[in-house]
Amino acid sequence: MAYAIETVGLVKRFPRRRKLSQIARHPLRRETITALSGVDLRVEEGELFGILGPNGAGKTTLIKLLCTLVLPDAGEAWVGGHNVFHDEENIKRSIGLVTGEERSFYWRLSGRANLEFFATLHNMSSFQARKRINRVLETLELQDKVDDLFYTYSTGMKQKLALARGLINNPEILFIDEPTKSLDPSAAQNIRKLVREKLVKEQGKTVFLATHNLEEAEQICDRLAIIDRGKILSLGTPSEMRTTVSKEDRYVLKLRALTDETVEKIRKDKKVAHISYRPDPANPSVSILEVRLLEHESALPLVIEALVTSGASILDCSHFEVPLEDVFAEVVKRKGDNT
Amino acid sequence: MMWRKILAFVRRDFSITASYRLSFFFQFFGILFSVVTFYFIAKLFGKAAIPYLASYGGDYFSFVLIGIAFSDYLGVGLSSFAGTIRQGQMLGTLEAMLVTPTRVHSIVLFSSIWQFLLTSIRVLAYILLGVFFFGVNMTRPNIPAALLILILTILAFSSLGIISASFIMVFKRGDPLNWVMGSFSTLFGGVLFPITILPDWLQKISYFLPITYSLRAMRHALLQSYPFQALGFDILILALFSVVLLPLGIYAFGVGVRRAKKDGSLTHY
Repeated sequence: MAYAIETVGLVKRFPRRRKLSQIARHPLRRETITALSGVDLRVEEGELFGILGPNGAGKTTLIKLLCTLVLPDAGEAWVGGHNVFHDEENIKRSIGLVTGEERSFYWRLSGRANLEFFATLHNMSSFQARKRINRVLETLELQDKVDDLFYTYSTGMKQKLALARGLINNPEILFIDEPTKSLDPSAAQNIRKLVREKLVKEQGKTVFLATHNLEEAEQICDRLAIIDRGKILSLGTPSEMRTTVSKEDRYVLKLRALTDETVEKIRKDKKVAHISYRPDPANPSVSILEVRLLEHESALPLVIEALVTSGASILDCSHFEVPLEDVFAEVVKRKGDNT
Repeated sequence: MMWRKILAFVRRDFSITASYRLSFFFQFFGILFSVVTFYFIAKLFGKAAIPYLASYGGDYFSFVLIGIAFSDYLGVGLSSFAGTIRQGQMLGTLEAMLVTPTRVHSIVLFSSIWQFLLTSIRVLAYILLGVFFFGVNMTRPNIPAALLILILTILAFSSLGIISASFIMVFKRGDPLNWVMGSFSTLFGGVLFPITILPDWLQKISYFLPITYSLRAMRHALLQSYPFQALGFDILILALFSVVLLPLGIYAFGVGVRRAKKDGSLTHY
């Protein structure tokens, strides 16, 4: 099966800047910083793939490398089936790059003039460019202010125009680097919705999104890779990642007529990792029961059955997933412990 | 498509330049002040300069006007390619251009065209001011020869500029070629005075500078109406400079881009 993006053992080291005294002592020594260390990834067509990591983890380097702006030191990478070493031009034809960097526009030109300029660099004729620009502006609901000068735009508007530029050549694969970095929550939500609903679901584009925003990654990505210090630490869907960190599912139930015997009976089940209860501070006749289950699909019906047969009445039942923050922290911690 | 791209770059640069109206017009005042200054310096020299300027018609003002006007091309040729890269790196627009299928060589070349066009307008302004207001004598200029010399001049200077851009690509700042060629050309290239004034041993440096041949040929073509045959030697040397330096520049630039990609510093400044 052909992947939209595939990397095998990708390595990138950058030269480390040395002090003059170090150069004087060892003029020929070359020190490097490893930005990517044996990265193996496969992104399927039409997938929204997130690369999640703290600042300096290697996310941007990986994107630049896949966009052919940086050459790898070792390993192989293919984008849209094209090799990054040998097929730069075809890669550039099939990709779009969106960064959160608003400086990458000509501030004294209008949004439309900026888009027309970049469309020409994508080898589009005037007619094609005009048609495509109107289409993209319509998709992103950007028609209103596109003829104003770029420097008059709000941050959200600038980010939308960056998205428009990334889409100008109708790419199969879109690389997005920190798309909501400096946006307010509403503008950020708007951008996420656009990416998820319009670009991936409606238009079937493959999106490779780098972010350090866990909420964003969880909300919109089909699969995620956690990267730190150039290494992929974990890979999978958000729920698969939770499973790798914690096999337990947490449920909180509000009950009336809960007895100690019932709690003890449930505790004996091997699939129950933890059980505790306390009175509800708002209503002392109600108990709040917290259970953590190992195989929740088979264990939860047993717990409910035990509660119901004991005569307790269930008022409320909530399922709590392990927050992605905890998954991220745990994955990074485990890696730190191993090194 | 190439022409559409060239037009897109020129339109972009014209719009940005024109949006800074004051600066756009002030450069033309600068030309006027420069012309007036040299006009009075020429008056000061009077007939004393004639023995040194015999082959150019004997008039210092005409001599220096051609020198300062056409040395502008040297400045632009040397600095515009490197400047384009540096500006793109600093503005952050270079990265956005580099992910398009347009090659980096084309991006740098096309980004410099506006500078050359603007320089041509400035050169024309120098000459028109000189001819119509300050009595420069250009009665029968050899225009086709001047155009050929201009093309070869731009090619030779641009080749040096492309080599200079390779330095900027890798080292970001501190391009030695630009400094050496810029300073040496002004001093030894015959911009403000004929090189025959220099001691013999210093004149030898002039022979290694394309501007020496460019300015000499241009002055002979415009002020003395020399025919092609009489300009043949200077034209040949300028062509040789281009033939040697242009492939060298393109090769050096390719190496610079590859090195910057390897270091991950293509868009750093």
